[in-house]
Amino acid sequence: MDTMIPYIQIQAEPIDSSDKVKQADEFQPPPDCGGVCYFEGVIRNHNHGKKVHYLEYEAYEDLAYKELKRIAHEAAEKFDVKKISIIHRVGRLEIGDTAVSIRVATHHRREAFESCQYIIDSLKVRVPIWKKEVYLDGCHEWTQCTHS
Amino acid sequence: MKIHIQYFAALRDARGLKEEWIEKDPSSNPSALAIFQQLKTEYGFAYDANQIRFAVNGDFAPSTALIKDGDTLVFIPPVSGG
Repeated sequence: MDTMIPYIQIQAEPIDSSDKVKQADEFQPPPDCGGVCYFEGVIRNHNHGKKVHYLEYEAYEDLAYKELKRIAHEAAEKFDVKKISIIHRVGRLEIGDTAVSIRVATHHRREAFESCQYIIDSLKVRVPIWKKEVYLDGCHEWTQCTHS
Repeated sequence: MKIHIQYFAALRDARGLKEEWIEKDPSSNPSALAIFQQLKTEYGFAYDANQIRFAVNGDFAPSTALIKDGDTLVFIPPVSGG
């Protein structure tokens, strides 16, 4: 029986502004887990050859929460994940900011890597969250996920 | 019948609104797709219908979903989270 309840959060507040060690400590893997995988999606300064100034993320929040929960439960079932945390920011993000943080805990390392990848790959094509890139030349564009 | 439409991202920019209520004749039995195509024609959305997913009353729905009085319909352009 799947009793894992994923921690899902969509927030404007920075994910990593406060004590990163404290955040890591708060994700306590269950005692039967030997593999913990963290992924952070970080804002980079370029895309498709253009120089990025900043990004704005927007979510259809009700449905984004629902779909993130579905993805988390799928990952839990496929990879026997015991604990999942997904946090996605919305609003304006600067270069170097963390846009999404995913944490998983599994018995063994292979499932930790694979489930973490499954969650971010699924999120990027399914969840109703959009990113607008604002470039140094003043142009902006609502992007589409085209690469991994 | 009145239908609540919500727009996000590039579609909100194109329409110039976050949301609106539109009137439809209930006997026309409009689908989500048909409503999108009507609004696309009216406002010149750049997206083709096959690029859009639909949500009705808070969850994904097929393009063929029939829209009823009071429903909330959201057009979901290609996403780019993460």
